[in-house]
Parts: sequence; structure tokens; C-alpha cells
Amino acid sequence: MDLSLERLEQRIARQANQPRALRFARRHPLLVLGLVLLAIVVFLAIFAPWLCANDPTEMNVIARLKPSSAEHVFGTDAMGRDIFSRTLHGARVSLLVGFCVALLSAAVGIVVGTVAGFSRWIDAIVMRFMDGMMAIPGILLAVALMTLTQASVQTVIIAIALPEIPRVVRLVRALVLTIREQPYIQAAHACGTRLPRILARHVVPNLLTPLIVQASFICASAMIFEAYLSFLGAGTPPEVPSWGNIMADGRSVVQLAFGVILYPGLFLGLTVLAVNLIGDGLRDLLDPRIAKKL
Amino acid sequence: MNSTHQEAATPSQKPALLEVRELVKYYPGRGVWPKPQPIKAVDNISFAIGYGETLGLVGESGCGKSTAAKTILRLIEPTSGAIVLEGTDIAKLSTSQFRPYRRDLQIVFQDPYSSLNPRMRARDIVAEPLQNFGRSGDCDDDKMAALFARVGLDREAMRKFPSEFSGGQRQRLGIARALALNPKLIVCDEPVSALDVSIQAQVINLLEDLQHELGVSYLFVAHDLAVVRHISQRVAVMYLGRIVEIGPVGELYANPRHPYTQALLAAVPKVGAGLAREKTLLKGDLPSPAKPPSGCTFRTRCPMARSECAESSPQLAAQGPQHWAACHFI
Amino acid sequence: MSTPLLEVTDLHLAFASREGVTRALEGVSWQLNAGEMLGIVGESGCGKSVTAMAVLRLLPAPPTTHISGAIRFRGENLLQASEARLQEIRGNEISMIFQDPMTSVNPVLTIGEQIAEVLMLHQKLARRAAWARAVELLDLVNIPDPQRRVHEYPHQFSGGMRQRAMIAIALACKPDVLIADEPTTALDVTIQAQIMELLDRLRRETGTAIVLITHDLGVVAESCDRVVVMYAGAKVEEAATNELFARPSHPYTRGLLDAMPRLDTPLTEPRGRLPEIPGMVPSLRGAAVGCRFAPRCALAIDRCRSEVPPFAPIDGANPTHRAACWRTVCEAIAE
Repeated sequence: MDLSLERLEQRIARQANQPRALRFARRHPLLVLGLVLLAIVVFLAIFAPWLCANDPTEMNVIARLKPSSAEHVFGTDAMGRDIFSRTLHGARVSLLVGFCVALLSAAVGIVVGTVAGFSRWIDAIVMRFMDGMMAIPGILLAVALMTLTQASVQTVIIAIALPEIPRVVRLVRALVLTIREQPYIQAAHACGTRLPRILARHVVPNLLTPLIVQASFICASAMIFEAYLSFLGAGTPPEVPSWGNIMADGRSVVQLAFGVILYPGLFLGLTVLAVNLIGDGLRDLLDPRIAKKL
Repeated sequence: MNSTHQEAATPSQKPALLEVRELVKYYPGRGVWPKPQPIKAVDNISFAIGYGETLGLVGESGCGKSTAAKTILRLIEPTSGAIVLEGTDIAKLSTSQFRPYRRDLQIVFQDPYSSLNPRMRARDIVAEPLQNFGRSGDCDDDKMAALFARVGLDREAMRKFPSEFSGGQRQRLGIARALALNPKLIVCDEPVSALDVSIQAQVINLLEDLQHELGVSYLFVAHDLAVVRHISQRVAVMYLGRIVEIGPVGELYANPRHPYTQALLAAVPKVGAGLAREKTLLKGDLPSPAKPPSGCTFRTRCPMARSECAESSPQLAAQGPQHWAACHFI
Repeated sequence: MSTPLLEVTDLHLAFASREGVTRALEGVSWQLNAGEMLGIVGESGCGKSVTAMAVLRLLPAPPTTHISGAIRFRGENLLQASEARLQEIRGNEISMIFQDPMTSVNPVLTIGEQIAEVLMLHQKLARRAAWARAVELLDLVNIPDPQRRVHEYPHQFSGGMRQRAMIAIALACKPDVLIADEPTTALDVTIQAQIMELLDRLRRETGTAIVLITHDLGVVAESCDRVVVMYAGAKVEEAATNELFARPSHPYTRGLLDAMPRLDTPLTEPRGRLPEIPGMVPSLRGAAVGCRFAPRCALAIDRCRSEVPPFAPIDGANPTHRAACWRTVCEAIAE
């Protein structure tokens, strides 16, 4: 028995001596996979103008609905625009929408949820308002907002973030209600810490872990939602190449040029998968109960 | 009635550091019908703590000892009563008027795990009270290291997070935080009950050393009678929100007057007593504070209870020098 | 000497995690005789609870856990028993009660349902008979008004009553062995006294042997026949209760006894310092190269740091009083 134990100890010690990055990858393979996928998409999005030979909006009537070729890697759409270029540029819109929605809803959620968790009368008002918002289907709210305002990426972000906010507020409020009962909050009161400082130093930092996980899921769902809205024509303005718009354009020509829908769809799926993998991975990484397993 | 309270409140001829008079904390009862009775967590208690003195506050869980202790720090707002700190009734002050007094009143919590913010470094935890009162100048490395050294932690400890410490070390950290502002009174809310015996002795010794060096007073709340006996000069015994007996430690332990104190002492397992033991065991459990028995609240478990105990509630009566107990039959 | 009811022999137990291998138990042996109450005392992390979990095989499976040695119940090695056989034994022949009575009962079932379930499972009693027995059992553990209480839920019980109900569940099948893991730690002293008296009475009435696992030397002193003192995964001392408290031999046992404030020592003014055991419990990574207590021991010599001390009688006069120490306290005092 001692022999096998010593062998096990040696194995653990060997693993401990491996480079940190390798050890991390072995322990959290899905998280690393998600990070790598996302990094690739982010790289392609940032360097899209330099990676693509063709302008994403440049029409070419002669080269319509062309299959893949050396010139047009993913082929062209009904107006002869290069799908490779459009898909890569579309990544910019999707990522921007995803990150901004996650950031915006998390920021609003932290502020509103924390205040609601600490003040009973604000809580009563805010939470009823949030309940009201949750009663409206998100897609209707977003479509209504989009029709009332000028279509632009900013309005898309706001339209998608708005239905997410009540959910984040609820999460934050629930977390705050448990954190405020922690003895370390009482300890802070006892040593004379004023309320704003208690919120900033003791409450918010302890909220962040679960919130980051939630934000990554919001990011993924926002990207899908954006594609959804654009596909329905209620999202990003048609001249902006977003994945939803590209697919909407390809709807009528899907039998002639499958790639118009396939490639942006594939990118969307992979990106959402990557972000969800990161979310799951972070949850496991940050959860002390799951940690430490061999 | 008031006279006995006043007497019980005074520890000795010298003026007290803290005097608690007729302190009451009721929580609203739950439900709508029948009309809920308030839960009497702390029901009219009075005591005093002298300079450099340790008052032990003992009782079983749910007797209100922790509530009473936290009410003194106004972590829980009292329903009524006076809390007089060196002549000022701090119970009557507004929150902002009270804030400067927090420097004199500090607390060490029971649970060394949850009473330290897991996301702050040890140094920031201990420095927080100093920063709160505009004494960031006292937070330089050497002064902090001196504070850490005083509670037996080394300089290296300042950079660590709470999770990197053992239970005993965390409790030292909690004590350092309480000491930072040089308070006059530290409320110790079961500070050693979560610790192992060998670590418990280290923390008790530390608390005693600090008292000798700094002259700080303690209100030592605990359920362990042996620990309280070791550390306190005077002891108050609580049962269902009331003080049933209070007196100097030697007198109270050698000559307990209230049947509850007697039963409590008898129930403590003793090394060296051997297997053959005849204990007067208390019957039953602590009644719910939401529905306390009428008259003397202890009567449902008391071996001496008679019919009149149900009718009137006994008041604290003098049993000897500075020794009071509340029972009809002593 | 008759064969012991439950015999733990040279039990080694290790938990593997990413950080390394924790040797939770290193060669622990003890015997429990029929009708006996054996106390296992030690501080948190000494391996006392893990021993109990090992007896009922309630530990995670390999590769997380490595176990070797033998646990014999009436001669049958439980480490080699099948899961089906263990199911028969658990709760039936060997049962266990835990520290926290709230988390170890099911909050959505009534107390009666939980007792009856055990009886129907192990004793194949009919529903009606099982309920009748449940009422009897509640009465046995001094729960007032058992006819009514049997239909109540755990949250309607106070802490002390819940622990009694746990004991009732544990005793439902008249087990031969009851393992009580810190049964009174979460309770107040007056309730603790009631529970300990109850355990003592039940042992006398039913003949159930009890292993009492606790950190409280006082509880052990008042109720156990024999005591095993554990430190850092090893047994450091074992003796009959009176003998142990009269002549504690291992420096750790002594240190523990001294560190405890007592009710019967004279009060001096100023109060004397409590003798403390310096330092803290060592990490159990890596095999022991010497006495685990040596770094905290005032009597340690070079040998203590290089060789693991054998577990041996402290003197010829009393072979049942044994300790694992190169320098028993007596020897140190003689010098």
C-alpha cells in the first residue's frame, strides 16, 4: 500500500512540476478549449480588415452566388459580396454586442441589486418594477424598442440588455442578501466602516465571482439574440454585416449558395459554444467545492 | 425593584466603564393571527463592567447572551434601556453621534472563518478600523507589524488572505482588528468555542496578556463555564433573556444560589469525577423565547418549582457581597 | 480473552488530491468489546471521524481514497465486504449518529416515517408494526408524548430532541455497535448531560457497544470505559479511563489535559496562564519520519524526530496502558 501511495505522490509531484499552463490545461480542458476558440474569433474580428482582400460591402454583380474559390474563400452572396470578409466583419458586431450587453447588464445589475439588497423601501419599488419587466417577453421588448428608435448597433445593445437586467438584478440582490448577513459585514460595521465603503470593499468584491459566470452566459445569449433580431430584420441596420444580417440575406438563396448561411451560422455556433464553455469552466474554477479533485 | 437593579449594576465603589441599565430587545413575533407576542430576546437586564475587568456572560444557546452583547455595540438596536459608557448614554445617540464611540467598543466574533472578508488581505483587514477613523498614518508597515506581533502573528502574515491561516491564527487576526483602535471594551462573542482545546488555551492566554498590558475590559460571552471561570472576575448567568444570577466568579462558582446556575455547573463534564456520577439533570429543553412560561421562566425545568413560581417573576436579590440571584426560594 | 466485537487493525488511510497525498490515518488499531463504551478523543484533523467513516465504508472510492489494514466485525473483514453486505450491516448491526442532528435527518419526512423506514428495510416489519415500534423507540429515548411527536417533522423538534430522535433511528434495529461521532458537540451542556445519560442507560439496557468520538475529554472521562487518544492520524495513547486520567503518559495527552481550564482548580489573582501546546497540528503530507507531535513537544529529543515511536506499554505494571512515545512522561520527570 505504501508503495502505491508513494508512486501516487510522485505522480502528483511530477504534475506539480509541470509548467503552470500545462497543468491548468489538464485540469480545465473545456475552459482552455473555450478560451482558445474565443481567442481565434477575437483575433479574426480585430484583424478582419487586414485579413480580407475584399471589402465586405463591395457589390460585384458579375460574381454573384459563387462557390468557394481562391479569390472568395467562402464564396459570394446574392449581391456578389465576399462572404469570408462579411463573416469576419460580422464577428466584430457579434462580439461587440455580446461583450457590451454582458458588461452593461452586469454594471446596472450590481448597482441596482446592491442598493435594493441594502435598502428595504428601494427594494420594494425596484423589485416590483423588475417583476413588471420580466413579465414582458424579451423579444417583444427588443422589437418594440428597435421599431421606436433608429436602428444602430447601440440600440441593439440596449434592446438586448434591457430584458437581461431584471435577471441580473435578482441574482445580485439574492447574493447581497446572503452577504449582508455574513459576520464580516457586521465586523465592518463594528469597526466604524460607513455604508458606501462597506458596499465597495466588502459586498461588491464578494459578488463578482458568481456574477462573472453569469455575465459570460449573458454574453453568449446576447450574441444569439442579436443574430435573432437581425435575422428578423429588427436588429442591426441591414448595411452592417452582422451574422444575423448575412444569414437573413442568404435565406432566399440557400438552395443556390449554401455557404451564405453555413459560414456565419458556423461562426455564431462556435463563438457561443466558446463563451458557454468559458462560463462553465469559470464556474468550476471559482467554485471551491469542485476544486482540488485529483 | 429598581434599587436592586441599580445595586446589581455596580461592580464596586469605583465608577464603571460601562453600565447597562434595564436593557431590552424585543423582536416582533411572526404571523398575523393570533396577534403575535414579541420575542423577548433580552428582557430587562442590567450589569456593569469596570475598568480592566472581565465580565463573563454565560447561558445556553438562545438565552440572549449574544444579542445582549451585540446590542451594546449597537450592531443590534436596543428596544429600550440605557447603555452608559463613561457617563454617556450611547443608546440614545443617533447613528452619526454614536460613530466616534465605536473606537472604544470593539468586538471579536465567534466564527473565525466567516468574520473575515475572504477577499481582503490580513493587513487590510486589520488596518480597516484605523482608516475609518482617519488614522491611515498609523497604517505604515512597522506599526502594522507591531500590531501583528502583539497578537503573535509575524510580518509575513500581513500579505496573506484569510484562507491561508488556521482557525487559531484567524482568531488572532480578529483580535488584532479589535485592538487596532485601542478600545476600552472588547466584546468577545464566544471567541474560543470554534477552536480546538490546545488552540483555545493559546487564545485565552493572549486575551489575558493583552488585558494586563493594555488594561482593556472584556465582556466575555461564552457557553463554556470552565473557560468563563478562568478568564472572568465577575460572571452573569442568563436564562431566556434575563440575568438569573450575577456575582464575583469565586463566589458564584463555589456557592451558586440559583437552581439554574447549580444545574449548569453540575452538567459540565469533569475530568477526574469518574464514572459513578449522580447528577441532578435538568428536565426538558429550553422553552421557546416566543412563548416563555409565565412567572419565573425557569420554572418548567426547575427541580424546586412550586405553584407561586408561575405567578410572579422573581427579582434579583442580594445573596452576599456583590452577589445577586433571582429566585423565590433562596 | 474473547474476540472483540469490532476490531480495527493497522488501518492506513490516505486521501489523494492535486496538492498531494494526505495520510489521514497511519496504522491505527483498536478493539471494541461487547457492551463497552470506547472513547476516541483528539482535536480536529486527528483522524477520529475518518476512522468511523472507514468502519462503515462511507468514504469516497479510490483513487481519491487509499485504505489498507483490516476492520473486523465479528471476525468479518468489512474492507473486503460487498456493497450489498455493507448495506445489511449499516444501520442494522452497526449504526452511526452524527454531530449535527439537523443535517443528518431528512427534513421532508416525519420522524416516524424515518424510523419506520429503517425498520421496514432491515427488520422486514409491516408498516403498522414499524410505526408502533417507532413510538416505543421515541419513548425509550425520553421524547415526551411520543404518540403525537412521531407524526412531527424534524424542524418541529429542538436540537436536543432531534439528537434523541437520531439516536432512536440508530437504535431502531438493536445494533451491536453504535458509533457516535461528536453526538453532543452542537448541544448545550444541560442537554449534553441528558444525551450522555441516555447513551449510558441504553448501553446498559440493550447491551449495545458504543464508540464515542469526541474532542471533549470531560465527556470521555465521565462515560467511557476505555479511551484512545489520537493525534495527527495516529493513536498516541490508550488506557482504561481512570488510569488515563490518573496517569496521562503521552506529552500530548498531558498537554491537552493541562490546556483545559477546569472548574476545580483554585482561583488565583491574577489568574495563572493556561499551559498551552505551542504551534499547531502538522500537515499530514508525506510519510511520518518520527513522532508527529515532536515539533510541538517540550520533551522531544533527536530520536523523536527521526524514528516513529512504537506503541508500547508505558511500564510493566499495567500492560493495558500503552503510549507511543520515546520518552514517556514518567521517565522525563525522573530525569
